Amino acid sequence: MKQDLRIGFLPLTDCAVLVTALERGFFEKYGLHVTLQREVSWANIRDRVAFGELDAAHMLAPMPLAATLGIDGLGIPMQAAFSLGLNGSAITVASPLMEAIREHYPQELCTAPVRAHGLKRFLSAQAPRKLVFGCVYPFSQHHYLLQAWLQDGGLVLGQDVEIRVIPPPQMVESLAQGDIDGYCAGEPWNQQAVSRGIGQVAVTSYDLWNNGPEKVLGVTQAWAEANPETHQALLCALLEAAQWLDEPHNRVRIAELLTRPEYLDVPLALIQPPLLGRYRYAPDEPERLLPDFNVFARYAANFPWHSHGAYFLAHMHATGQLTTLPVDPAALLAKVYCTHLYRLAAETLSLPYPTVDYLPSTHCLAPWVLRDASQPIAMGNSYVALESLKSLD
Amino acid sequence: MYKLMLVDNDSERTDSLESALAAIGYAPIIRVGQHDNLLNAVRTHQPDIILIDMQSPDRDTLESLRNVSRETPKPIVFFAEQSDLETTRAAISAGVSAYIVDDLPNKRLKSVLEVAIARFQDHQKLKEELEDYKSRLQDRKDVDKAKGILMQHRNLTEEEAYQLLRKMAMDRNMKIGEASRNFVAAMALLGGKF
Repeated sequence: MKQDLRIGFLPLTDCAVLVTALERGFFEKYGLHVTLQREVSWANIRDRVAFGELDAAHMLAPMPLAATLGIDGLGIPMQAAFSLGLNGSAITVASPLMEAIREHYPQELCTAPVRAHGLKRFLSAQAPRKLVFGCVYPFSQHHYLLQAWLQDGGLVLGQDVEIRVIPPPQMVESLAQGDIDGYCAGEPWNQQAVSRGIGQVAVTSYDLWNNGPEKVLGVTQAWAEANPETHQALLCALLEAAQWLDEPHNRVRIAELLTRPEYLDVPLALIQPPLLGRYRYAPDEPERLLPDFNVFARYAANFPWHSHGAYFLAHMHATGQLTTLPVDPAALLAKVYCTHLYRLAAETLSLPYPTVDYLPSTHCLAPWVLRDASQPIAMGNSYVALESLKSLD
Repeated sequence: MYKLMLVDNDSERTDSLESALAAIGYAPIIRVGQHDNLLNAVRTHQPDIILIDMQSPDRDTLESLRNVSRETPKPIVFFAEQSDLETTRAAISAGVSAYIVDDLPNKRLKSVLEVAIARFQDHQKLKEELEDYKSRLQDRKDVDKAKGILMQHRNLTEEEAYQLLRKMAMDRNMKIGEASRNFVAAMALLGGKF
């Protein structure tokens, strides 16, 4: 069994499960010697995993699918058997823009969640202005959510608004300089804009899609086939780490570790409150309670749902990233999102696991129970706010 | 002639790469640094080949150009689609990545990429040597400090103090520099002023 592993990550709050597994000794418990390697771009993550410099990595959930479809520029098939968490990102809008909407169209901010109609009305009054929004990578939940949110507000992509890929560390600076009007990114980048007073959070990913997909642990198919035992050990270590991390008092400790220079290297005040479910939307507002802003284990959060994959496929097609849909999507999703490997690891640890691959679409505004499972699993809300996201589900 | 763009914050490395590429007939070369707007630069210059340092987060921005070809007349394609896997692997391990326009002949890119790989590898080696030199210098300082403490407290000669440190390091399977650092730190904890 391969024991020495290099795992890549990007400095984002949701690398927390990997940091927990290392710092709390869960990797060691399963006989793994892991080095966590910080990367600066998702493209680096993809390349280094594809060519074996990294064994595995923190990836945006659609990335392994894009790789297997061959639309990521490299086309080396990848897979994921573990989701590193749910929710955790948000759409930030430049403060002057939000203030203008608040002044002229206050009723547009009185919906839950806030929709983009206010932006559309602002834009119509300002013609021929065009808005520019940033997102972190073409194959990301951030990109798809941002598109869906803007379109829901009546904004026409390309005509009213342009979406540009910007590296997260440059996002806040671009907003400050007025190069962009807003962006969709993970933490700590939204809280950083809010704390500097230059941006306000319009909606969180949770507001748009209760407990939606976010990041996964990606490996190449070749690696998974060559190292089945190591892969299982890795999944067991991460499952335990995620369970540990869902306890609020443990999150306090991990937040401190995440501030270290080798991980996020940003102040605790930007990392800790969201992890503890306290989220600031605007600098002049009190924090709001969002206990599920980051979900690391509960609600079957680590399960790589095929339904999420089907949603990515539909969105890739809708955005033109994928020109023709695969002939047998079910077989493709089974190859990419390896639910059987997850179940095997969960079984080893006697943890409950879903027995179905597609999450029943309940659109529930309240917690519910998933009974299609080895033992019933308590689930959180599953409400999806935007019609366009619902129809893809 | 093909237009080449270099995206790298290390001006020394860019200089050496630029002259190496000029030697095989690529000139002039468009240089883009950290604070320049990469998208604007690509739109303005419309390069045929882009070489980019993997330490630059701007790679993700370049990736997005693949999906919005209508914005740039020349779509940009990730290098592996046209180059062989060995070259790609060497490039990644040297820390350089390349993007080319769709219709560029394979052979052209390979020669450019090989030059870039060699320069990035040289640079990596230089950096490692510098770091190695720095750490050896630090080790020597720490060993001297530890020796001084031992000589003062146990009335040893310099040679005896050194042998004692060496033995401690070997017993603990450590390097002598590291062992000396630990020793000095432990003495400081015990209230010594050194």
